Amino acid sequence: MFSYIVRRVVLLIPVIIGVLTLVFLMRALVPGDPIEIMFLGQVPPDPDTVADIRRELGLDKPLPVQYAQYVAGVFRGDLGKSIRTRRPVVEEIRDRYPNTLILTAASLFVALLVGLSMGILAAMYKDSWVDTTSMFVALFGLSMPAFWFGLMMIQLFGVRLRWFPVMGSDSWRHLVLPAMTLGLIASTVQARIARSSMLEVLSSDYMRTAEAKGLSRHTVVLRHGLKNALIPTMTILGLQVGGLLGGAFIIETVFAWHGVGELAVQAISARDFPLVQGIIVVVATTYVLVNLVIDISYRLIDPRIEYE
Amino acid sequence: MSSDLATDTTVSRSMGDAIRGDTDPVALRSGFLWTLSDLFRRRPAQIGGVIVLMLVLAALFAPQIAPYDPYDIDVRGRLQPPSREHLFGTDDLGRDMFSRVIYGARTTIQTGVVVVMIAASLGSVIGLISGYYGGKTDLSIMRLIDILLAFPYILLALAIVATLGPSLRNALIAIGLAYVPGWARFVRGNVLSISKQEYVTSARATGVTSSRIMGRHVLANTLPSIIVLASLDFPAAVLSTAALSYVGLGAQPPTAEWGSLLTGARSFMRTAPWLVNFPGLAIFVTMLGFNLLGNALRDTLDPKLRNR
Repeated sequence: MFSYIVRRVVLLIPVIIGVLTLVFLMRALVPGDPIEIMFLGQVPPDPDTVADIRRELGLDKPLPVQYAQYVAGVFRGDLGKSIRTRRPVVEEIRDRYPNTLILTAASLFVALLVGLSMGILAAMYKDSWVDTTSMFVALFGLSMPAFWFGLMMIQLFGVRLRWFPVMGSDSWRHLVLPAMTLGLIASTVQARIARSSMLEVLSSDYMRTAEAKGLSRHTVVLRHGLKNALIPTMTILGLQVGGLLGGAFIIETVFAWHGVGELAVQAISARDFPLVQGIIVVVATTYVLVNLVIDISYRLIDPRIEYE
Repeated sequence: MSSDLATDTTVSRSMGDAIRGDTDPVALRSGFLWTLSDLFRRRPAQIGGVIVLMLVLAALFAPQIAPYDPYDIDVRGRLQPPSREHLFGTDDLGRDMFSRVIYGARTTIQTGVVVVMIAASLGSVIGLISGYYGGKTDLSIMRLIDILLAFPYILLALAIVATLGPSLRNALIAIGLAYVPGWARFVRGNVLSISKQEYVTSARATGVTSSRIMGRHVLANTLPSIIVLASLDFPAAVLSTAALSYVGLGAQPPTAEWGSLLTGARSFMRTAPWLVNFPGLAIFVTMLGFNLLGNALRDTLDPKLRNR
């Protein structure tokens, strides 16, 4: 187990370097002069300022030097300065990132709670109206654009019923609608997986034995079934976190939730490259780390899983 | 392409016939027709097919169907609720929403086609090369693919949009490229399993050239899976483009694109909810149609993929 963890951590290094290289190439590959593009459609600043920015971004040096400086900077915790606000990118992200993590975690909670219950109920009452309805809902979720679902939530719970605020990120009440939007849509994927793995478990021999012992159906399903059906759910958890992190980029804009997603969209529109690069590095790293933790933890849950 | 598909399904046809005792002479005419008739025997495929057909017709005959020019501004007739003159009402510049939604169908089809073409062609070529040649080529390509897959794909798309600049064309390129790693890995997996088949070994033994084996045997037998994946990626691509356009990183105003139609609508949610309802509904119904059709296609062509 320990050697497995060590190996996985070592394997992270090329991935992180790959991410950094790609993010660096992003700026290097921008067609045309990056500084000209930054001020596209605005009054161009005077040549002195342009030269300053060029020096500050290190754009006056050859690409390999720029690359080395960039990577070295990242490992020192220096992601450069935002062009728009002139603040260090690290600070900009530090102000915003907790909000994104809260939103992602809350959505994941909703997705698991709703998705697992829906999937397990569907499997227990297979071919009944419960099953049909929940699979219909799952199909709807697959087809529903998250941002439009968000707008509908705003219309119903914000504008008509006035139950929750629809903009900002100041309190837990602001969290409810965006977390429900992301979580409910993700729950439909969870429900399908939970249903099929639960069906598989329910028809297995040890379940029949448990039932033959005279245990009640609920004990059997919850104590024995759930535990084994959770493993396939865990394996897609990593993908789900990725989906939710990505989804947060759009949904944060819909609800004006002040996370890095909203910040990234603004930064891309404003062509604030250092900020965009910083956000991508941080989010991609988070995603890789979360997946590592998930991989390790389902080995703890299911000792049958062997790693070569 | 269709003849390859026909040869491939001949086997499954006779198997299907044997199971169901099907002797319908029309269905037996060719493998391709058999596949189609088998597909549209399924109720979800029928519903999905009708929706997709309506979308295609709307896109083809947009000028004939739309009662107004989708870009015609009429400030005096702004924000009118749905009526007989304006089925979906008018927007804040007095443009007819029904006409704009109909024209949006064109953008939608273009979106799906372009993205899937980029992803499928690049991804298939990379996957074929990697899977067929194996060894060091395979190893280095797959390392790179793994790094790219370490990004949540919307993040990858955002990075590319940030590099190229926000526009519909760039959003399509970005989403297409973001799908390439997934495609490459998928095609590679297929190629690996097909390359181990005896008919490939015997073809090689009889001195058939590599490129011929790739085209005639490997690609032809991967084709059903490629078609299925394309049919499932099409709606996903449309959804992503609409999301990017919604936050202002895809189609720019005044383009009639469903996602960007929703961008401005948010501020009129209280006074003109029809601006939010109709474009969103159009996306949702379209997604539903493609997902129903795609799922049915998968069950018909490639039952192995069912749990993907």
